[in-house]
Amino acid sequence: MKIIPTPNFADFLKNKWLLLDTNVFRDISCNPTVFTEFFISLKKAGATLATVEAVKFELMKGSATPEKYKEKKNLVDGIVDNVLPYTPKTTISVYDLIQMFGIDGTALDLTDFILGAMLKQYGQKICLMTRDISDFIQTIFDLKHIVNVTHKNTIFTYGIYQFKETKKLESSSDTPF
Amino acid sequence: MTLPKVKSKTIDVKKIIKAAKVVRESIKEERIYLDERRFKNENNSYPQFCRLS
Repeated sequence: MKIIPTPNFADFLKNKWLLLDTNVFRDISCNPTVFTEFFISLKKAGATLATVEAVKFELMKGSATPEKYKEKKNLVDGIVDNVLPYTPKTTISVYDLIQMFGIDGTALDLTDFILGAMLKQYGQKICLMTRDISDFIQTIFDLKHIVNVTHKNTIFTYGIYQFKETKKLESSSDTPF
Repeated sequence: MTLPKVKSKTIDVKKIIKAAKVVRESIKEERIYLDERRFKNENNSYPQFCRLS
């Protein structure tokens, strides 16, 4: 298994936060050694690894025993530097994104909206790594880099997304704030 | 908005490998559970002989 990012990916991440989606943690559990090496190299390059509580909820639900619950938590906490907290602005950003996505938002789950809201909230200082490459549409998010991971019989592709700075919602009058 | 200031943590590879093994088992178990649930739901049509005429 090899992790092949697009050129200058590590430089791009310098002094930026990289949010990790649930599917990334699931994939880490299948190949912990290779992924861990990769994330250590990104941290050395100056990236801050993070996620949101919703990703932890998604990963930890369904744990049949206390040990499984605990180890899922250990996996996330062992990789990330921080769990980015929600602020009142996160909620407003989720409402904004729901309006921006329109019909394309039908298939999105709440975790995707929360991750997207974090990208909107923190702009160019943050990006997201996800294997859900059909959810983060490129009319709203810029696909900045691609990370390919080769497996014995397939290739997994991860998108590295940032919120499009030019994308502004004209009115947030439908939000309850 | 400004991101919070955080200290970079060192990744403990051994701890991650240990956790990953358990998480992998758990994910497999959850997939089996979901497959069985889907199968039960798909085969839960009301039997013909029970229908009211």
